[in-house]
Amino acid sequence: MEQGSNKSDREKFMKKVYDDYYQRLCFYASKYVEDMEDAKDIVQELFVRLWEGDMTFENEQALSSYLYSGVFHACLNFRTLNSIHERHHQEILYQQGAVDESNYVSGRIEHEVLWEVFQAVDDLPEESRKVFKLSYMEGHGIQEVADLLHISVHTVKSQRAYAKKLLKERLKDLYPVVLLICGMLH
Amino acid sequence: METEKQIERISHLVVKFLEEGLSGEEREELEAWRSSSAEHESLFQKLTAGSWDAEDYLHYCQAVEADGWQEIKKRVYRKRLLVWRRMIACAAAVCLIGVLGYWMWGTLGKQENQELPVVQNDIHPGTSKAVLKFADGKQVRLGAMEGTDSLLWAEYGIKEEGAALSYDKVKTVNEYHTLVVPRGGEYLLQLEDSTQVWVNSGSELKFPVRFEGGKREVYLKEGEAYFEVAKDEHRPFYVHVADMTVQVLGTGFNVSAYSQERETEVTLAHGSVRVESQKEAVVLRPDEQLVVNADSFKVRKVDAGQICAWRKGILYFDAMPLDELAEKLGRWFNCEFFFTSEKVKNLTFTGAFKKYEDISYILSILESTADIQIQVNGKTIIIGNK
Repeated sequence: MEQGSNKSDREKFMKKVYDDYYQRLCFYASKYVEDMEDAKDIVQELFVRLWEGDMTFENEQALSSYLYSGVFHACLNFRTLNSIHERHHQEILYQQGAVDESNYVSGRIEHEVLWEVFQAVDDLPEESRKVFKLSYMEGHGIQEVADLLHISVHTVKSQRAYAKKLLKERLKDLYPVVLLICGMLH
Repeated sequence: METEKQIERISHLVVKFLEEGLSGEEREELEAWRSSSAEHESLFQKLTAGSWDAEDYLHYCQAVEADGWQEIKKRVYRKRLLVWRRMIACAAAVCLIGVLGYWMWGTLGKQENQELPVVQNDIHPGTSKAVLKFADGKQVRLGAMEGTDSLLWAEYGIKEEGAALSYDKVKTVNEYHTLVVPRGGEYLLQLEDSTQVWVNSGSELKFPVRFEGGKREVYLKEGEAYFEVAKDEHRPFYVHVADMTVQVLGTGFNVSAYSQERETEVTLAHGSVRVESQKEAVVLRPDEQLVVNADSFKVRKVDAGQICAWRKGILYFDAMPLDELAEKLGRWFNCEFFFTSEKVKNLTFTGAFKKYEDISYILSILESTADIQIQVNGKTIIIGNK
């Protein structure tokens, strides 16, 4: 990948990295800092650092590793600093579960899988997506979904089956792209 | 990148599992990973349970709407502009403090359930601006908005570039000029010998167009300035401030002498200075600060980088009482603070803020870290008990 020695090449390179990673990184960060605005701030600052820095990357994996671990560490610092501000209060509000280095790999795997699944969900037709959300994300039973959407139980059952089928197909469709990238790196 | 490869491989296998497309070999590989640790197995169960967190999906939806490209470009350009303004070509040594990146994140975070004090468009961070007064009383406005004045160039050999003024060696007239920086302003001045002076809000610096008589002397009549003095063994550099004189050989140091504040401070970043008052004198070493007030003349150790960081766009506070903090913010943002409670004035704060950001960030953090309530009314900020 041409990483840019002059200003306009650098900008082109950064735009490509932005297109490939920005939204994924925002999604990734939001798992750790909760507020999407804070997540975006963290990711944007990382991009600024990358833009101005003198780094070159051997391959896509090195870049991906830099970006994700950069965001991860920034999120850890953010969480620590926010608990420090709360020291001035009498009560300690910092109740988020322990997040540290050892969680990094599992957090990443979870992120990668969720991203794929949610992309597939987003592609479902509207009816199926609604049923899917209510059933598999908000945990409603079949009867509840039927009541909420004013459709028959039969419809709910067939929409759920249809959604799952489409999801599998959609996941299959997404994968050829990923396989291709893996292929290039070996 | 072993970890990265593993992450990609395992997530790929898990997704294939979900779509029911695993080959025999892949299934074995996945089983091996699962059984290699309890943590792996529970992660696998979590990801294949067939239900997903609505909050995660919400974040996903927000993330795919995210459009930050323009904002990123803006930040990159702003960073470059800041660097350029501060580094006009000259011979002086400039020491760079490492990027403060992560430390800044704490100050950008907003607290949940906290209403930001509403700031209309009345309160803005300071900008580069100043007034230059000549010996005959004539004056001219300087700053990013004004542009080069050919009068200055022709008569005195002074050039204004961007947001900094530099005195060239080429001129005949010698007299004293005074740089006055108002509240809400800051300015970078380069003297005839290439010494650079960053002058903070609410300050006044008197200096000659040309140094003569084997020495270099300037007068900080009010306020705060950071000096990067060019090396010149033949001409010692003196800064007269309050009732003291700071003698310098070639070095970087900060002087703060606001008449509203209780004390005068001289902080040394690098090099060496000798400070002399009517009664006492002391030689400072890097990271030492001299604090002088009505009763005392004391040296203490500090982090000079933090104290001098204002010229690079960052304001640091270390256990600073709120009334003093308000004074500093008021000078930079050119607004007034009023307290409705005496107790609140003595609350202390420690932290750092980017000074070019909106004041509402700073105010919301102050509000969330102490039992105070902040109201904004035009250019007035009122702080009281909760």
